[in-house]
Amino acid sequence: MTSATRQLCHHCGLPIGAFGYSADDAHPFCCYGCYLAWRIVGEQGQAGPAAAILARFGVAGVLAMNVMMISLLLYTDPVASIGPQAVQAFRWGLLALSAPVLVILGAPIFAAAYRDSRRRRASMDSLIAVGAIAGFGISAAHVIAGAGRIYFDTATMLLVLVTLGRLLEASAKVKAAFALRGLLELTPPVAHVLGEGEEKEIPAEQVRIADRVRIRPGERLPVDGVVVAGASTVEESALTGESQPRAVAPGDRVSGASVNGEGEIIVEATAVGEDTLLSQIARLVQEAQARRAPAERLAARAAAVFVPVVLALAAASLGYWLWRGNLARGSMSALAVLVVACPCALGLATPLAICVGLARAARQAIIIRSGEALEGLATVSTIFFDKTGTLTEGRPAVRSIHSCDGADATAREELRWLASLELASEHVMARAIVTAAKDRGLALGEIADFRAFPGRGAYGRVRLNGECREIWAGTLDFLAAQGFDTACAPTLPPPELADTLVFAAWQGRVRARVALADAPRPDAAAAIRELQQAGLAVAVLTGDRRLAAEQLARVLGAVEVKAQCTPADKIECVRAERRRGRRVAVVGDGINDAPALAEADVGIAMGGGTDLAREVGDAAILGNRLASLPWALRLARQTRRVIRQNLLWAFGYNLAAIALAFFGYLHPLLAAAAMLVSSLFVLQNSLRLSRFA
Amino acid sequence: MSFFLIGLAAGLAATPHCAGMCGAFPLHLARGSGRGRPLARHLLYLGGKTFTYAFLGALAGLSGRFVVQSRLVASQHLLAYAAGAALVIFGAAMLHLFPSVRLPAPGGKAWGLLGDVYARFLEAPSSGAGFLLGVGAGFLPCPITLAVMAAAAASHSVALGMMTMAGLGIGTAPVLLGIGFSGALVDARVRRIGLRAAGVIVIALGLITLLRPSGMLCRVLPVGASALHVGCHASAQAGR
Repeated sequence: MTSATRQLCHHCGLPIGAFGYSADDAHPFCCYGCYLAWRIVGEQGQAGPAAAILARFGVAGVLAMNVMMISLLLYTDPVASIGPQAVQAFRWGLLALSAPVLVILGAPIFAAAYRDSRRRRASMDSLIAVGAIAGFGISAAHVIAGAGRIYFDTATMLLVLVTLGRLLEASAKVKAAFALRGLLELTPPVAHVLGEGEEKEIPAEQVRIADRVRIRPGERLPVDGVVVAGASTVEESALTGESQPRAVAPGDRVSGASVNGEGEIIVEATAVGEDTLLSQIARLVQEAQARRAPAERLAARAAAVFVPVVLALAAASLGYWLWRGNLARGSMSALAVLVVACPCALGLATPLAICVGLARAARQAIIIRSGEALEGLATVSTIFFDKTGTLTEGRPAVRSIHSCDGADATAREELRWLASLELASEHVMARAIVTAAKDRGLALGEIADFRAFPGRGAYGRVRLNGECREIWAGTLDFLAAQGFDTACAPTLPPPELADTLVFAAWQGRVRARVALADAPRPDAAAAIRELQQAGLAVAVLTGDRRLAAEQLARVLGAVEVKAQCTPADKIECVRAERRRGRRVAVVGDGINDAPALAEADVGIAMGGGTDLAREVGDAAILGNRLASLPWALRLARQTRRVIRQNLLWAFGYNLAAIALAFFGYLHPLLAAAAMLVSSLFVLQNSLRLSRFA
Repeated sequence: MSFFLIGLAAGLAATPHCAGMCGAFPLHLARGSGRGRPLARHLLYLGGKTFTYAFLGALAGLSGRFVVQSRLVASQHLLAYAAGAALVIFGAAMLHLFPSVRLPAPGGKAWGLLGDVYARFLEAPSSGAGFLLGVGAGFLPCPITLAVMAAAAASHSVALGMMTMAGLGIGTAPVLLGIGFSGALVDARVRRIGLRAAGVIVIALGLITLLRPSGMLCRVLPVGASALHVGCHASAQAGR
């Protein structure tokens, strides 16, 4: 993963690429258009400078329109009808009208081009500056000489169109970044904090951890926290994509920006301001947008050589026509080459599409951590699912307990020993066993020297009723490998096919078997079917026994199963698949499945969300909605399509347009318009992604 | 002169349409507390709008001239036939005569992107800003403007194109001045009539453009057409 992060634009919030613009170091912009737009609309309450800029732009635009109209009349109507002296007078008039435009609209562009040239690099500004100054210079010389073609209309309209194009570009970028900003604006500005018998309304960012906040029906939550009083429902679609409200009661965690339902609740704040889940999401997406994607590096490399090549081509075109003895055509075609080249389409083709794609995903509660991950997702050919908590609800419940001695009373006693061991474990199965013991009113012992064997089992010394035992728990294979006598296992009543089995052993032999059931998620089958229809090979990787995994696979519809995998086995599975030339995604829980997620081309963490920063993975799907997975895949593929279209357009347009201009088949004025249309195409094509459904 | 009159007639006929769509601009100028006398502000606004129209007319005339000169069409009459037919179909679509055709909503995407910038012009209606407001308003996508531009293109001359569109700007002046000084915006009913009137005007412009080169207009509408100098001198015009 690349970590070459870039500065973000002060106006649109998108990363600053090769062609940044900076009025001063404190306010960097990604382009001159963003700077202009920020000066005009961004600085609220500062109408003065905004009006001045607008007036300047307006005056320059009107002058350029005049230049154009007079030029068109001179081009088309026979000189004889108004007489050569009148024509010469008009030419002087054009010179007078054009000069202010060059100063007003050209100055910032010329200044940027000059700065670039001092840093020994060429940018789009260089092309425009050379084009406008050359067009004006040649024309002025011809006016003074009293003969020769004039290009005042090209020089002025070029500047108007470029400025206009940049303003449009800036607006488009703001729209791209808007999704993200809209997300942050979901947090209400004030909170009602309870303290010493009275309620105070304070700004949300001043709430402190452990403050109690009153949330009235219909209000948005200003902080993350735990419900301490009241009962209600919360709608968390901004954070999880799930529009169905969730019932909450004291003890439940709630997140800022979710909407309270009909009841009033009191929430104790656990995270405020920058630390809330919502802020984490926005920060992660911003970081992702600031990273360079691989396709972008290609475009950046192309853009770096692009401008010098265009300058050279313009010179070559002038030389070619001079050699053919046609100076007029030479100057026209050189000018057209300079003007028609559109490095802006090249530079924007990838980053804008990726930024829009990442923001669109975030709005669907899918956090993709880099453009590289988004591109990677589009090329995935195999997808491995973890079973527990990913394809299943992740809330297993103990279905049966069987003692090797056959008696119920012994089974209860053995559950006590096992549950005492599992007290020390964070695993969902362990917690289910502890819950089962507590539900049966069993008092548990003390645990020491706990050791977990991920994917296989656990060990610990349990002290219970004054007696100390070394307890082992886990799969039958694991216990057999530890040297326990497993002879009793086949004699136990057969479990349900889908059940997960945990065996407990001590003092030389297996003592009991606990069967746990974990229901598959209701949307799992549909999501897997959709992924298969999209051409992906789908397989389940699980530490669970083969029969249980196969039963789940049958329920979900013919997927390959690799059962009894240790974490190391899972990594090996991923590696083997990658060695076969497949691009692998692993979907699992971002903490327990971290190693496999890290090994995959794209690791996707499901159902996390309380601590995004701690989780690994290239993408996180909040709110456990498996249906989001095929959607994310489609979005990634669509983003890749848009990038390809943009690059194809940018390269194709420049190649064709520069060739036409080189041989003098393109009037510079048309070239300026074509350049604007070309960048608008890329902008609009990328913005389509924000409407992806 | 005939092209100027076509534009002027279209502008006058478009009165209900303009009142509905563009009436807000003069109202805004009238309400503003900016510098300059109200009359000057309104005239500058109209001047700016007419200036932009003339600019668009020049572009339209140039396009028509380019099409004719590059022999993209077999005869220059063909351009007029094509433009006229397109206008008739466009006007019919505006009148919902083709239920399956849905015209895009006014205000294109690019305009939407510039909306924030444009809104700033509206904030300070000084005299100068009034002129620039007019210049900007002239670029607003409008079916009447597009239709008259098509007629201007059919003139295949930059100068005639400018005249046609300048006629449109002057033709729309009375209604906008009226609104500016009466300070009353027309109600929704008039606005609906205006939308329909626009369709009729576009069809009429299409028919004029279509029939003009052949001189048929003189036979169909002998009195009105000759009063407008449209079509009856077609052969003389075409021969230029």
